Amino acid sequence: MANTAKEKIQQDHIPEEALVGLLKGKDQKALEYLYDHYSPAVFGIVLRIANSEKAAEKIFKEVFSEILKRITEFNHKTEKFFDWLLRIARSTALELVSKRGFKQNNLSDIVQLKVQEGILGNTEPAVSRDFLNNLNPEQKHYLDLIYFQGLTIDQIAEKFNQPANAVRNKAKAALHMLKALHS
Amino acid sequence: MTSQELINSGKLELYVLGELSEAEAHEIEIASAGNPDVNEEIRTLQNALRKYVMCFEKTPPLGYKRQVLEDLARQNEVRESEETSKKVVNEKAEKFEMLEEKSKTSNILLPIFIVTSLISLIAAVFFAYRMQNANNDLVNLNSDNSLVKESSLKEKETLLNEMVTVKSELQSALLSLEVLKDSNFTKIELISPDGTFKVPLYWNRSNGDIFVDGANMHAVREDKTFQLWTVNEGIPDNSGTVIPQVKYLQKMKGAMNAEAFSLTIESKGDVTDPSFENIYATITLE
Repeated sequence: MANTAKEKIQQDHIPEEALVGLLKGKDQKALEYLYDHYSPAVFGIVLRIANSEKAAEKIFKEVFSEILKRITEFNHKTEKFFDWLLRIARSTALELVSKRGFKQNNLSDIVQLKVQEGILGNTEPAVSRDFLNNLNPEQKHYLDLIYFQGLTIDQIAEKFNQPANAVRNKAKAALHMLKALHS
Repeated sequence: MTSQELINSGKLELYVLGELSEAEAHEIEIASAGNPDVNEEIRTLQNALRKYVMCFEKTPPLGYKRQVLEDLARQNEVRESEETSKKVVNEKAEKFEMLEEKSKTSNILLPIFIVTSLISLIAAVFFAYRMQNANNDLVNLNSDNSLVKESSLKEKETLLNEMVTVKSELQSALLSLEVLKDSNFTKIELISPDGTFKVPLYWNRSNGDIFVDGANMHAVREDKTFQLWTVNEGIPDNSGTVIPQVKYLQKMKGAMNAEAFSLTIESKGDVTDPSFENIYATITLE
């Protein structure tokens, strides 16, 4: 089984289940494969949460370490590996940022700024730019507060002095817009 | 509630955003399990959110890959070395010559290491002599006397184990000597919060090597451990476990840059963040 998976790695393709098996065995080629194929997604989340290159570097390493430490928890029957990976990356990064007191700025402002400055646009595929540009700033704001800052509806309501129901409706509308853009 | 009512209720959006209580989320999971429409709606919302998150995908800077893979390899090494730390090390007899240079070293610990090394050497010779005798005795024994044979074999095994221990201690003493003699190492003393005792640390800034002298540290409860942290740019990095009351210098995970070193008392197991409320000794570098 392991040999078959290794052969597949050499062909630059490996099914998730086999990859997870090799990662559990600390296979070096599997580690490199994991990094090569998934690090942009993980780094993107970490950078958005840490909001600083320096903090992101440190957290990024620890997130990877955490992913491998918890790889035995992954169950391919209940979740896709990519979704599991993003979930672990997000929760670990949020926890580390919270514990170490890194300061998060207003992320939605930065999203907007990056798009305006072309920073995001220059580095991301055109399809991502279109997707982002079709969301209005308020929708991005709520999605960022929830996903990248890990705030609950009640915390957002308190922070911006708004009724919780209004925040809840805006968050739902934002995700609904994402769904419409996605489909 | 019908499938369509559930889909239109807005609860699925909150579920995907992680904004429902555990009980509410559980209700959604039950509803989706037997309902393809609800299940499909959840999957669509999850895919849409994932697509949004992936808009921020960013390739890490060059060099990160090597660092991450090296860090992971080092963590594996540390785990493995902790498990096998008491195993045999190879004796290098030529290093005895270093003892002749003992007068050049003024450190207060040096005489202790030299005496220990000499005792280890004498003990090694003594055990070798005893083992040779045991071998001779074994040869001379009547081969039919199985009880005596067994006893001699056990004695031989015990002697071998003792020799291995002596070799290991000798190797540690020689390594400590090397560090103490090496002018590239700077001696730094971590100080307890009440200032009553110090823990010496030797740091080689040119190659990042770090050694700790835990000889005078206090014992801790069995479920606790001493952890060394290297703090750089405000971020603590776990530099490994320090075993108290070990008479030789202990090699820790290296660091090229540091603004502070701290020893904390942690619960045994994987420790990723320091409990700064349990600081045992610390030093901030100028």
